[in-house]
Amino acid sequence: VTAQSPITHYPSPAKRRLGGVIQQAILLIASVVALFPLWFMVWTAIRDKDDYFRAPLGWPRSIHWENFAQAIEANIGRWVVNSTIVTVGAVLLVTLVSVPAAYAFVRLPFRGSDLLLKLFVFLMVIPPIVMLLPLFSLMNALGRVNHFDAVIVAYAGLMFPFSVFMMVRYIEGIPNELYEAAFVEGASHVRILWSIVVPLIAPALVTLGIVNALWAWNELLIAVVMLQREESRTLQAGLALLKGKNTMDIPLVMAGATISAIPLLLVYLFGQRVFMSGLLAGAVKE
Amino acid sequence: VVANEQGSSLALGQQSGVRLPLPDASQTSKRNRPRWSHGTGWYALVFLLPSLVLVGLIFIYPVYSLVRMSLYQSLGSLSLYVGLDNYRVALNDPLFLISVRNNLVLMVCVPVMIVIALGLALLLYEQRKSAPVYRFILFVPYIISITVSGIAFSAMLTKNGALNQMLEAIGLGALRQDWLGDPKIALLSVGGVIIWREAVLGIVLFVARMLTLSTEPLEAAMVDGATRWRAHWNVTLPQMRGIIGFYAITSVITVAVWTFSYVFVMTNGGPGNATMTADLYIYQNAFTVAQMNLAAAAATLVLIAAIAVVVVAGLLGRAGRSRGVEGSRSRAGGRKA
Repeated sequence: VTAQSPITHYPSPAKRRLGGVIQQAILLIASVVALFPLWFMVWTAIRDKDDYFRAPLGWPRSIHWENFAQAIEANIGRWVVNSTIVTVGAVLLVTLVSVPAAYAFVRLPFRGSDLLLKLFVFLMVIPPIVMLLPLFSLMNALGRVNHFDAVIVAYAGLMFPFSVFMMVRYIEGIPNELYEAAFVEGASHVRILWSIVVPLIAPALVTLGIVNALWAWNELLIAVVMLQREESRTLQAGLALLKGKNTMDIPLVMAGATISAIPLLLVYLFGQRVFMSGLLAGAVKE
Repeated sequence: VVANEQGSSLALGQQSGVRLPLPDASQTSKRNRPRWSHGTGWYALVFLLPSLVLVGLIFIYPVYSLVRMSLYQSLGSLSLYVGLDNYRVALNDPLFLISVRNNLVLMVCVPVMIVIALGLALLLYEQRKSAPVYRFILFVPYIISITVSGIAFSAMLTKNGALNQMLEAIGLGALRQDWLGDPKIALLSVGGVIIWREAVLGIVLFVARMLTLSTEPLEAAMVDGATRWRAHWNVTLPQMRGIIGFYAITSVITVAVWTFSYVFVMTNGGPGNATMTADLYIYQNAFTVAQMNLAAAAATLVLIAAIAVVVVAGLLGRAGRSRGVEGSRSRAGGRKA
């Protein structure tokens, strides 16, 4: 091979520009595919039934905001409240359980603690359908079916393996010197956890909270089984069953689906920044 | 000190049904272990007690109870030990076999998801300037619940739905289908929706991994005359083996045992039983036809399958590494800086 400037091996500028255009086009198409169902949902939610059946993709003949009011009347307002209770409860519970556990794994190791942590993390693999039958029987025997506490505990349990895994990794990142200084001053483990560890991992706690909240908000299987009364359903379970009942009034179902997607999209808009600030906070401390 | 790009992708990864640790999970570093140790046992117990109770209640007791349930037959308040009879019934139930077959057919989604996710991740890597916008958009399918997108897709995929109308509009009317109503293609349509959503996890994981790679080998390959894509094929891809493997395992578990939300919302197993899957089979047996013991046997088989996938994947991973395959494992997990 003769000595050549490396630059000559790159494609010509025109060719590269063409390549760039093609790449942009593919990304654009992928974006349309990603967003289309969401757009379709909103597009359908604002029109009336006949209009939808006439031309699902055409311009709405008239805009029917009352679909949203109707959807809220069809229990969706109630379900939003239920989903919020269940989500907030489960996220708080799993945080309260997993942070001290993670602290113990990192700072108070004992014989077999590595194995126990491995077991906890391994539990992530087990699908909820496996636990569901016995859990239902148990909650039924305890009279907790149709009560939120059963679902909150079940969600917290299912979110626990991931949460403790994530918290262990963050708490491991706290330098030893900080603990030793506190320990010399006679601080107890409870105090160290509360006034040193928790503030330091606060960004991670927010990230974990958002991730867990999205999971809990979107969960369907356990909600369908554990909350069977119409007025105690979560939003996802309610919507899934509303869809089964209203095969003809698709705009109504779409209005309900739109209402349920809005908080998530807001969390996502806001959450992306929280993720970033968590990352930056870590970088600054370094 | 705290997070890096991988940490966030890991967190985002939790959005899918399956939540697996990244490859080097659970290997806690020993570097920060405390030096004192007297009297810590009680503290450890107190700090771990709530989690032991929770895990016992939600995992240990149910698994024990499930296996027990699968060995008995309830008749009213009576419970008879029947050994493996329920398993025999399940394995001879044509519907269960159809369900398992459907889950296996859905496995074809996994390679498709990997290819799509890799392609889009590479494009995002190449088009760095506009990547944040696209990344934001491409992640949306993962934010919307399966219930909501399932509702939208079932409306779009009907005979007179949006998809068929679009096909007509662009002159491809011949491709019109009753996407969810035709037993021959309903399962593939469900698979398409699964790909639409689950490929997102792959994109996120792959982009995060690519951003940790050094650009030098890639540039060196191009200096040696390789085209950009050739260089990606020869240089970038081999370094991504670990994370691709991780994503593949996660996806296999998703299509094997986490399809409930998709089929429950879109088809409820129909038409006929064309889209019946194992977890829907268990759900229906337990809660609509009250065959709890049969459902328990099927659920136990699902549990065994899920564990088997992870164990086999772990063994394959170990074998791959000991053959000296690119050791991306240690880096894929994104150790803290």
